[in-house]
Amino acid sequence: MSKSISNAWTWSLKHSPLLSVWRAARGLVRPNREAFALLEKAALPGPIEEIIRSTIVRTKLWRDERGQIAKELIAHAQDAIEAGRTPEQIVETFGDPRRVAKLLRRSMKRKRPMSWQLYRFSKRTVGGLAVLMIVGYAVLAVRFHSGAPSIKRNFIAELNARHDQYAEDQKVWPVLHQVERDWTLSSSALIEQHAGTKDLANGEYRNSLVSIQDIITAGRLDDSDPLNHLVAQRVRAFEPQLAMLRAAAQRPVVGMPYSYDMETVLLNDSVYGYEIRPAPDDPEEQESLISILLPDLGAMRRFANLYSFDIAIATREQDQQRVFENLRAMANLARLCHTEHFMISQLCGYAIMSQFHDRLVEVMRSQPDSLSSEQVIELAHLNARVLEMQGLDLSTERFGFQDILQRAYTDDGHGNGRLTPQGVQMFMEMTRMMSSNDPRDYIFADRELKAATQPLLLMGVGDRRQEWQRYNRMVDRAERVLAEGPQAFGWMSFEEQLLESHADDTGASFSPAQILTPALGSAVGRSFQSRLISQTTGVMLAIEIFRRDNGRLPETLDELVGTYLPQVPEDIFNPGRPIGYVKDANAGYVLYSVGSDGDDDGGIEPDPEDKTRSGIGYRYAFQVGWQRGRPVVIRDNRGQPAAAAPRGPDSDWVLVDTRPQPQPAGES
Amino acid sequence: MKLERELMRGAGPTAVLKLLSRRAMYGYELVEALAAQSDGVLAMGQSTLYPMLYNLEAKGLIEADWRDADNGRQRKYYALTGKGKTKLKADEQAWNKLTQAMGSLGVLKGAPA
Repeated sequence: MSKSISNAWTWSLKHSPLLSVWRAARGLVRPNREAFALLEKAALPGPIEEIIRSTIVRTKLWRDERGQIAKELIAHAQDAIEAGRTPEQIVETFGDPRRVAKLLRRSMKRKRPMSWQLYRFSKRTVGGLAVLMIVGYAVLAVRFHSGAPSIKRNFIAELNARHDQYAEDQKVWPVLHQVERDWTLSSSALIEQHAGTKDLANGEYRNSLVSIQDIITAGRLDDSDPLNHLVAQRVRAFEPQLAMLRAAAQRPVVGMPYSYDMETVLLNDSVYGYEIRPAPDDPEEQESLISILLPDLGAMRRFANLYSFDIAIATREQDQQRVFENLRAMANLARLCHTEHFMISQLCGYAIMSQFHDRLVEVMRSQPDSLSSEQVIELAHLNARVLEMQGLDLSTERFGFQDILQRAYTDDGHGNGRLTPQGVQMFMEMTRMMSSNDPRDYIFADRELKAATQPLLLMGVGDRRQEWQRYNRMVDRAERVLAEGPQAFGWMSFEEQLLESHADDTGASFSPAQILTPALGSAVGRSFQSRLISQTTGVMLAIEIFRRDNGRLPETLDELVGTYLPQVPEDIFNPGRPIGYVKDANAGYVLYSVGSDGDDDGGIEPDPEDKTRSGIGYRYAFQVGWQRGRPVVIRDNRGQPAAAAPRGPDSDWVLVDTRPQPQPAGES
Repeated sequence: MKLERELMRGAGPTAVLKLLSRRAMYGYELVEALAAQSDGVLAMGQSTLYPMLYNLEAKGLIEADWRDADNGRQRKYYALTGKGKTKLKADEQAWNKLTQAMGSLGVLKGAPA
């Protein structure tokens, strides 16, 4: 037992890493000291001593190892001399000192302790990996820097060409731009008028502008508020321009040249406006399609607000014709948004139509006979025309991503390609625009290091085909939901996109498609909501014509079908069922959707504090849980995706309510 | 006649193990014994012998210790370990099979073709 303990102790000591370190460290200072001392003591003939000395030096081993070899070679030489060999014979049989040293070094190292062997193995492994990484990086760097995008399609020119068939007097843009300039000057003068002699600082000027916009957006007249009063006066004084735009809004298209840049210009001594600089013909000189600016949308929203505000003024002035013309102008501006085909322009159209609906409901409730039957019919036709255009068209979004791909990737001629330095630059700028934090800022402080890491993106970013397919999958899914209806909406939820990105086996950690895909779920939801709102507007106008023809309200909406409506629209929250209609016993009626809980409560208004009542996603989204770090859809006992909230607030989404409003307490 | 390097690389260690199976020997003694007993065929210089001995030692087939010789000097003696004996036995069987095979091919003189 004691012998085995002693052996184990000896082994441990011999293979101790500390001992290896000590032995190696000793060799750093006079490594030949022991070996040369032995040689001097042996006093061998000169040629033999020289060849042993030369061999020992060349072994480059640890000091004690050189000593061991020297001792053995000296003993060998002494044995040979004793056996009668001459120094020349001994030197001749010794061999080449370089080769002998090399063989001795190699074999001696094999005898070294295990700790050293492990150290050598690790060093070689790390070294090997480092070499592999350097070679791999070099290959990637050459591949990355040798790639260049080739821009073949001029998407902006293709979009501009859509307006070529229209003459200038069929385009609303020239009038819209001029009227917007005038309004910019007018609102600036309004702020100065409001400030009086006070010299406004930048912040105060901006705050006043925001206050004016808030008053216009609210669409309410309040003579007790001096600024509200001034705004009303200014809008009234702007009537000639508003009238000009009302007329122009009936033109077929906006016709603004798509550009990527706006040039700031001085409109007078102190007020700035902008000019559109048309995009250059050469697509190489253009920015990408998704970078183009659409100032016409902002202008159309602004004037829809102004017309909405002017309805309040015209109502007070009992100018029924202007009320009608303002409503018609709002619907026409929404129609013009839908001729633009960008997703953002369609969302703009939805917003204006929602505003048009709200204003029309107010007019119908407060002054049902203020519009002539011809005017009601004209608005109904215009509403139906916009409704036809409201389907969300995502083709221009695909154009936009195709343009990104042709500017970021090489083109192998077969629909594929790899990321280029220009592409990385473009994505970095876009990411910076979307988020001020570049994750690499925390790791790399200087630009050179950042640039050096770019070729590595070839490993982490999908190739051109993968990104195009990934983008199309998302847009296809949105189009599928648009086609199938909102009950398929769960597939659009954020969680589902998350599931898909996890299921994606490309291994890409950065996906331009995922970053640049617009908020499709939200847009699809808005599309459904807008359709329901416009359909309800149509029903309301049909009821109004019915009322005038028959002197009463219809008992059910089915009474309208044929003469007044082609069919009763379906409630998107209640598939297969029509929108709800409740005729009041005294006067007026309610049109409603069952709302986000899918539960028909008879047209009850929801709690005003409840913000979830119109959320389509709330009705149709899945419940998603996590298993082993991956998202999974939670299913019910029938295997169907479990809804995130099968029961919602106990109320409905009231879209039209023409019943007389209760007088506030204290008034009579 | 000397063996080519590749043949020597295969035969040398077995020859050394065989010599050491009889008794412990020191380096020069091994050189002399190899040259004498193989008629010079397995003669090797220090450049071949000592790296070979160190390799065998690293593999645990032989072990070494310094001893005082009659002439008052020290010599490093090499002896076979248990592992070395097992290896030698396996090598001998392999060489027997090899010589038989070479003999049956007529490579060895006097053996039937």
